[in-house]
Amino acid sequence: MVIDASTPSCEANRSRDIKGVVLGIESTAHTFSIGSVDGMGVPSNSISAFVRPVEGGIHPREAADHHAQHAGNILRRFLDEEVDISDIKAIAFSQGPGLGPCLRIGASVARSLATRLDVPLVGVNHCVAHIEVGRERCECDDPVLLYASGGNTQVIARLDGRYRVLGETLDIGIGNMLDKFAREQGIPFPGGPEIERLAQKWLDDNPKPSLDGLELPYAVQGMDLAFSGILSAALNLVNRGKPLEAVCWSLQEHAFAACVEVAERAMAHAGKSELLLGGGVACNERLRGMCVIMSENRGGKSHVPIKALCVDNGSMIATLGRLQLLWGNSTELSDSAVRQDLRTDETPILWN
Amino acid sequence: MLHQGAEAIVHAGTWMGRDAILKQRQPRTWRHPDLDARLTKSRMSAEVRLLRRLYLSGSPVPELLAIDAPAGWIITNRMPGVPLFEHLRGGGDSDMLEELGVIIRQIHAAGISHGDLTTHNILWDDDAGLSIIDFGLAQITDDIEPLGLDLQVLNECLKASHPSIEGGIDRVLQGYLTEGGQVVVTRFNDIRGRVRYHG
Repeated sequence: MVIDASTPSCEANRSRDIKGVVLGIESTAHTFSIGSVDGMGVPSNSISAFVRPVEGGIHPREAADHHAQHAGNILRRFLDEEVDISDIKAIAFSQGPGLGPCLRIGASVARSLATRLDVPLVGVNHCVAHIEVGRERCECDDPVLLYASGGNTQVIARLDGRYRVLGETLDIGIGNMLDKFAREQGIPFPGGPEIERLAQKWLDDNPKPSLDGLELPYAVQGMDLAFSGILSAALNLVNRGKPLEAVCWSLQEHAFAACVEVAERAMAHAGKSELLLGGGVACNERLRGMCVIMSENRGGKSHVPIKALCVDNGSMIATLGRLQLLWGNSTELSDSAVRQDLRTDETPILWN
Repeated sequence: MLHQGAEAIVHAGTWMGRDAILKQRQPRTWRHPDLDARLTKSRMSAEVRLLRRLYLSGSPVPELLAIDAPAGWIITNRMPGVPLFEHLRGGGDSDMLEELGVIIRQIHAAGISHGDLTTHNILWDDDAGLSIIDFGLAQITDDIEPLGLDLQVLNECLKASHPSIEGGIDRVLQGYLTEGGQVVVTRFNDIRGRVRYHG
C-alpha cells in the first residue's frame, strides 16, 4: 500500500559539508539554549538555562525575562567553550511555535548576531527540528514521530512533502499533565523525572503489580488522545488514600499506553515502519521501553536520540538550520518575525 | 493477511461460502496485561453490539458472522471496495464526500460514535458505494462530544492525509446537515477551535 513514491533518506543530508558552523538558538518555552552543528551536521553540546517556576506553571513574560537575563552569559560561555566565532557560517533560531515573549528573545539575539557577523539568518520550525535531529542522529529515514513534551503531544509523519500532524492531544500536553499532577503532590517542576522515580520504586517494592484498584481513564479517539480525565482520576486516587508511588506507576502505565497506541495507529495509517521519539517526556525509560516492544512487534524499529537532544536544545535548531541552508533556504530580516502559531505542516521539506 | 492494524491482524478469506474478514485481536504486550485485557474486552464487546445494531438498521456496515470472545476474534462479511485513503491518494475523485456525511449522520442518529473515522475505515466501491468498517473504538453515547470528535478525527485525516482535496470536511458537513445534526456540527466547530494545530 505504498503510495508515496519518494523515499526520504538522511544519508544525502549527512554527506554534504557546509564548511563551517551553524549556531542554533532555542527559546520557545521554558528553555533558553544555544548549540551548534559542524559542517557535516555533528552537534556540539548545548548550553542551556531553564525557568523553574516556584509555584504554578510557566508565565510567558517571566520566562522571557529569564531568557533575556541569561542570553548574554550563555552566548559568551558557548563561544568560550564550544565554537570559534570566526567559524560561524549561519545563525538558526526557533521561529515558532511557542510562547510569543520567549520566542522574541531568541529571535532578537539571532538577528543581532547574524547582522554583526554578516552571516545568513535561518528561521526554523521547532517541531520539525525535533524530527530532523532524531532522523540525523538515529539513522532513521522515514519515521512516525511521537512528540511528547510539556506543551505538545502529537504524532507526525511525512506525507506529500510536508510533516503532517496525524493526531494530537485534544486538551493538554502529556508533560503538562504530569507537571500538574506532581505540583498537587508538592513535587517541584519538572514533575516527570520524580514521577518516574516513584513509579520505579513501586515496581521495585512490588515486582508483579496489578492495576486492580488503580484503573484510570484511557482516552483515545482515532489518532487523538486526551489527558485531563486521567489527571483528575489520578488525583482522586491519591485523595482516596492510594500510595503515591502506586498512583505514579498507574499514571505512567495509562498515559504512555495511550501515546504508544496512537503512535501505532499512525504507523498503520501512514504505512511507516520506523518510530522516532522526541520531546522531554521521551527521556522516560518506561515510555522508551514500550515504544521498542510496539515497533518490534510490528516488524519495525524504534529510535530515540540521547536525552540532551530530546529536550529542547540549541543543537537541534542548528541541525534543521543547516539542512535549510544546504537546500538554499535562509530567512531575510524582514521575514524573521516570530510565529507563535506556526504549524508543523507549514514548513516545506526541501531536504532529503 | 490483509492488514496489520493497531489492534488486530485482519485476514481475508471465506466463511460458509461468503467473502469474509477475520479480525484477530493481538495482545499489546507493551502495555500492562490488566490494562490490555480491560481494553480488549470492552472494545470487542462494544464492536459486536454496535455492528449488529447498525447492520440491522440498514447502515452500510459489515454483517457479523461469528465471534469467539475469549479467543479475541470476530468474522464479518467482506465489504466491497478499497479504503478511501487509497482511492483518494491514488488520484480518485472525491464526489462521495457529501454522501459520506449522510451516512455518518445516520450512524450518529442511532446514538453511536465510531471513534476512529479515518479514511482507512471508510471503503469506496464504484458500484456498491461507501461502507464504514472497524468499530473497535465505537461507543453508544448520549453525549454529543464523541460525535463532534468523530467529525474532528475525519477533518484531521482529510487535512493531513489528503491535503490536495479542497474543503473536504465542508462537503462532508453539507451531507451531514441534510437530516438534523446542527448541534453536533456546532460542537465540532468548538473542538476545532480548542485544539492546537487542526483549527
